[in-house]
Amino acid sequence: MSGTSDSTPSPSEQGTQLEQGTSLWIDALRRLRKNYAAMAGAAIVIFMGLVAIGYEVLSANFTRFTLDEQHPYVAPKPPGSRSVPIVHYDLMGTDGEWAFEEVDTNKDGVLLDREIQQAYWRQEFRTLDEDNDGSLSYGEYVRAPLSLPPPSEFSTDCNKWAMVRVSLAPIENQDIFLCDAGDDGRISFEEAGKLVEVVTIGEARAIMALGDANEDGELTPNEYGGFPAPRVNILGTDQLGRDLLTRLIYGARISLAVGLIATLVSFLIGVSWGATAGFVGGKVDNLMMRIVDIMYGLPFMFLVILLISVFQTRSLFLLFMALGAIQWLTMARIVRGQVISLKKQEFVEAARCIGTPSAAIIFRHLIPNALGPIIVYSTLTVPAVMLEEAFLSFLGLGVQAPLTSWGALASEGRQNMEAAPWMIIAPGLALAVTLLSMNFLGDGLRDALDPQLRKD
Amino acid sequence: MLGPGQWGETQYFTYIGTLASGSLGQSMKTDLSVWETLSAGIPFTFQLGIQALFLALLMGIPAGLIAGLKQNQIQDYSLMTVAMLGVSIPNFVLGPVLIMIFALELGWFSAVGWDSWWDSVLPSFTLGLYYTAYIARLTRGGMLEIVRQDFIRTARAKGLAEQVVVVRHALKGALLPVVSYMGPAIAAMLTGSVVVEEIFGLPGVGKEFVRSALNRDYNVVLGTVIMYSSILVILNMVVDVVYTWLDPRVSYD
Repeated sequence: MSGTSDSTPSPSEQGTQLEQGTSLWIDALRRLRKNYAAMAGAAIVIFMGLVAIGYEVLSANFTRFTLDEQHPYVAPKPPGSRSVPIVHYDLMGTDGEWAFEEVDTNKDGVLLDREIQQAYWRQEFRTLDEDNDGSLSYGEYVRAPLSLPPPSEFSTDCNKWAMVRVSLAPIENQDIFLCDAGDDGRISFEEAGKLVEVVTIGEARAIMALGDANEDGELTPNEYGGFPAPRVNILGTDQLGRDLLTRLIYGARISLAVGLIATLVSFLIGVSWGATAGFVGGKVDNLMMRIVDIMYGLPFMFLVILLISVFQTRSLFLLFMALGAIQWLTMARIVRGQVISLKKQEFVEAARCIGTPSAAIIFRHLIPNALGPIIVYSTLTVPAVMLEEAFLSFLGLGVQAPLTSWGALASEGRQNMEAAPWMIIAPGLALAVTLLSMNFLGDGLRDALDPQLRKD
Repeated sequence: MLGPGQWGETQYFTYIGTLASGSLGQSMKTDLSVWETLSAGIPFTFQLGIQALFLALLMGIPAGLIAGLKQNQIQDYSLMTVAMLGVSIPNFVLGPVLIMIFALELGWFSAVGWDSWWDSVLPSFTLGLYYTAYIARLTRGGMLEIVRQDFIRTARAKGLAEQVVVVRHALKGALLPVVSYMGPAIAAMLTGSVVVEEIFGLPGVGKEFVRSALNRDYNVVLGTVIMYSSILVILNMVVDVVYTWLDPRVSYD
């Protein structure tokens, strides 16, 4: 950066490759590249960032659920469950996956709601039928992730069995294989019953209404645009039947945004505070750093909770400010130390001689030269802030509905821990992996930028 | 106190007056005083914190010493990887996962509540793991710095056994970063116990604090903050005194 000799001499002028110099930054980058843990961390952080940015694209094209879209059966469903297509999902006009003739089972040339419903059921049956032999074996039956029917619909033996599956009780007894009315050890499509009932007749009517231009309760080949298959809840759903993966992706956006913006706030306060104290020195420095010392001794998360409870609004803005405002102390100390050691150097004296104002010296000459430790500390602040946000959201004091974050998701997960362990494992894993990656990246940056600080 | 219809500074001085008389004031939602509200939970929070702290010190320091002495060997890499994991897993994820495995699946502990000492094992571990990992990292760093110093070379040169060099000469210096971390660690443990109490359903100060924050019972919230801040200020002073004892180069005039 400015002030240090970071010019890269061109090899042709020097005549030989051996004398090529490297700047601090190129050197640091070279060291960072050799640190595989840090590079893996950087890759994961970039991946998470892209996922967070691409929420709209991913939710429209990949998960095909929206943030608040609820399944009609309000209960958590395990990962891999299939979900019915819902009516406001743009079904018509997409490339049809099913030929008209395939859906039209009675071959009368028009589609009725019952036929549409059956088409979805057959689709579900085909997915369960892993070996494609047209019937389910016991193993296929047991592995089927179940769309949860409302309790009132449990009547036949088959549905009792379904109920047992839902309660996640261990099934060991083959006698429970009750759906097999023909007693041939296989379950046909007709026998499968509730196992494949992913679309109610009402939903089938609603789906049909999207294409039924003349509202006669029938779809002609012209009106039929083809229906896509039921969507899959890759990570299951939450307690309200909302797709967990979609919420996780949206949570990544909020969690990362809080981490970045609060770090930026702490960066601005800490750098200005520390640079001013270090540059001015004397009594001002003494006073400013004693304030930092005093604040260091306070339990800051409690003050944040106090702030949040007093201000009553649970706005994201307040969260950014409050979390940023407690993280700047260490930054101020680091910057002050750097500035004090830098301000005695000749280039600062030279700048002062030509009449550069103090503010310009601080921001043009001192801070750029102290950038290494600042970047390292900022990188390590992001995971710290994300953890604090998650902590607050977990207690119900952070991000509020309809927004969500990984901490808020973990909080919901804990409340449904016994029935739906995936609800806490997914956001917990996302958070742990991201924090781990950021810590590796921060440590790697520290080692790369300041080899003397290296702890080994 | 903190009543409506008063000027801000009047409220402020009234509150300071109440504090000066040794009272934290009255809860705004119940008939109890703030002290009565909080004091019931103090034993739980205190025991939880002490146990977590002991766990962190008893496991973290040896782990850090081994890693530091066996630098860049398999012991170092495995211990530091575990420590990195410990620092990165949030306690509100760790707690529920431990409950799922050890309480719900294996049935070794009760998932909620605190009936015997045995039930305090999971919460203490949940609270202490992060600090165990952090202290291990600090001890390792301190150890690496100290074993390069001249007096350690002298101790080795005059033929002292390796254990004597480590325990008598190196340990005291290697623990300096750990001691200076004690102040922030205890602050963070008080904060962390809020979550742990919430997860394990323990009737500690933290649970009361969160309940009050959600209920907007400002006096209780403010009282907790003041109580915790006072504890921390005192503890930080103790840490400073211990520091001068460990490192005679540091002195406070």
